[in-house]
Amino acid sequence: MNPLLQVENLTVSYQVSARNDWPWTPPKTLTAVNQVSLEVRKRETLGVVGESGSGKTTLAKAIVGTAPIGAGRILLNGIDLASLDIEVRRQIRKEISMVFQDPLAALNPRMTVGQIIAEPLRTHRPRLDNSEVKSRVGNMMERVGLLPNLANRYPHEFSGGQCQRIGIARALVLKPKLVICDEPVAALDVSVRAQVVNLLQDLQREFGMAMIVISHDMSIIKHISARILVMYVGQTMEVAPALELVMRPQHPYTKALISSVPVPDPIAERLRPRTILKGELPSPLNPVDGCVFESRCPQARPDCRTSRPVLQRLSKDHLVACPYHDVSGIT
Amino acid sequence: MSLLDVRNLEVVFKTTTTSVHAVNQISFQLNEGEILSIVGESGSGKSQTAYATMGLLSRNAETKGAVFFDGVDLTALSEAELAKIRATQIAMIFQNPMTSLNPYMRISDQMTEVLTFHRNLSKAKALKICIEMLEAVQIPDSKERINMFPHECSGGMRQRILIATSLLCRPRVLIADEPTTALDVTIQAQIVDLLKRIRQKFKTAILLITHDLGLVAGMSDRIIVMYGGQIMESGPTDDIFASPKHPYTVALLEAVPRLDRSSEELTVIPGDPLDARIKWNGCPFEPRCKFRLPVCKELRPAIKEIGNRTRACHLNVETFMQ
Repeated sequence: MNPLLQVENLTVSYQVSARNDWPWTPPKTLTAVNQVSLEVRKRETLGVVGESGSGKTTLAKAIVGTAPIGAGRILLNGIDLASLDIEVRRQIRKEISMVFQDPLAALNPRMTVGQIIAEPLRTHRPRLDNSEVKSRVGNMMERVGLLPNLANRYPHEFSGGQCQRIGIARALVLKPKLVICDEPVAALDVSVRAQVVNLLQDLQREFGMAMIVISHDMSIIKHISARILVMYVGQTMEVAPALELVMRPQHPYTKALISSVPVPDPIAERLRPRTILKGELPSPLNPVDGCVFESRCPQARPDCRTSRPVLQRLSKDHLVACPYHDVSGIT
Repeated sequence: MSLLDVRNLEVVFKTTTTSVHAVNQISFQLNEGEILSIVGESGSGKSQTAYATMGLLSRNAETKGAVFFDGVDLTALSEAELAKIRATQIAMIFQNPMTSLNPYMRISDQMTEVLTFHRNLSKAKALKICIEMLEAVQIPDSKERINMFPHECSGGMRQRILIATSLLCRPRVLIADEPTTALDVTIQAQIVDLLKRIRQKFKTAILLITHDLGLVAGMSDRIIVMYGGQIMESGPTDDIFASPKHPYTVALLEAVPRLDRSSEELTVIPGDPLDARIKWNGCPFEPRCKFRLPVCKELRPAIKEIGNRTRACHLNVETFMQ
């Protein structure tokens, strides 16, 4: 079966000039996403995890069509989106929708909740009559756990968790085949996070859409996704089924990332071995010849600095971009 | 005697229309060299408790109760006397390291200011101590870095600089308000490691304020769980995690997905966090509690001591644990 979404060697770069450069200094190239390939199967959830600056949001933007694609292809159901005429592309785009990080900022404060949720319908299905739109909006609100009689209220009258429900309703009202959730619960309180995570999973079971969930929080990603993609400074470090990635990580960066997530259990916390990475993310403005993780890698070798590792396939679903993944004994 | 002794602290904010009860009757002690964590969601009053301790509340706030530091009631002191205790005895670091540093001043000026002001040291001498302190918080090339401006440093580095600045006068208490929330996980691990080492090296007592249960599990000796401005439960970290005795703590622990366990579905806490504008007579967690009784709505549960733990719930421990 063909995957729903295929991303092949996607590169997104921006021209930026540094703050203290002269006006005539040529701008530098910032490569936010560097030759990333991925695929999302029907009804599947792919988790994308990485620290800030790893390019996860830019990847999402490129897929929904709001970031310039430098190189590579994005195929939805086998059709290259870039090859299409703009009108046709618009038709196809309604199959992909997005849920944003800051729930209140993502909603227009001067529109009522009903108008916000109806907007995708009005844009993509202009021929639907008002009563039909109203009933679909009402159903959708009920489905995400909001009372339909709140449709005439404004976003500021809702709590953060409820605003995220509104955002989810808007994303799902067209019944898309793929929903991209960019940090869907990062801005929410701990006690509300579980509600939204469970809601996303329930809706996926009901509507059968595929999801790409982006987060910096490894425990949320592991809980929600079937497969996980680990990114670092715009590049893929490792892709594997969720449990396999957490239980048997192969890339030194994945290992360090998992080890730095605190576990809410004091005894387990004291016993488990921890790798604390030194230093910080390198700047994407100064590209390196070798491995991007070399500067912080606890197992770096001299040739990591000179040759860029290629993604190796360990098993059907497990890819890793480190030539020395099996040499390191620790997990 | 404990170093910091907070008794029946209450914080009320008066606005033009209502009054907001941010902190309700809180008492706790912080001992020398101890790491005590206050855990709670936004609106639980954890930060306001810390601000009240330091006398940093906004002008429309009213405080009741007492905060004893080393036997002296801080709430009774004048602003000038309080200023002496701040930084030299009790220091504080904040969530967003960028907004706590002055963007117009070099790191060197901001750091030496603390010593020239509080300790009357010469600039040269102060600079030497500051560089040593930056080395202690593991900032590489601290001699050059100290001449930078805040915007030239990364988030993790800024937080280290703030920690170093707060430690310059060797305070006995360090209040850390969400010190790692703005940072990435790998940097968070570095800062947690640093705070633990500071406690060992300088014997500083740390009051850690956070919403992250994982963070608390890894570093604190005792925990206070807050909700709606009140203490729900408190006790030694190991005991609270091993056998939480309050419905809110239990629900909170179950609602967090864990990396070391797999679960099909997360247990949900229904409803939304409390609206602090409404003054509750009963238990603030009552509307969301699975075990609520009719009495919970009318009467606020008193804090009862059980051994070295405290708990505020009408349901008795034996019934609840079953």
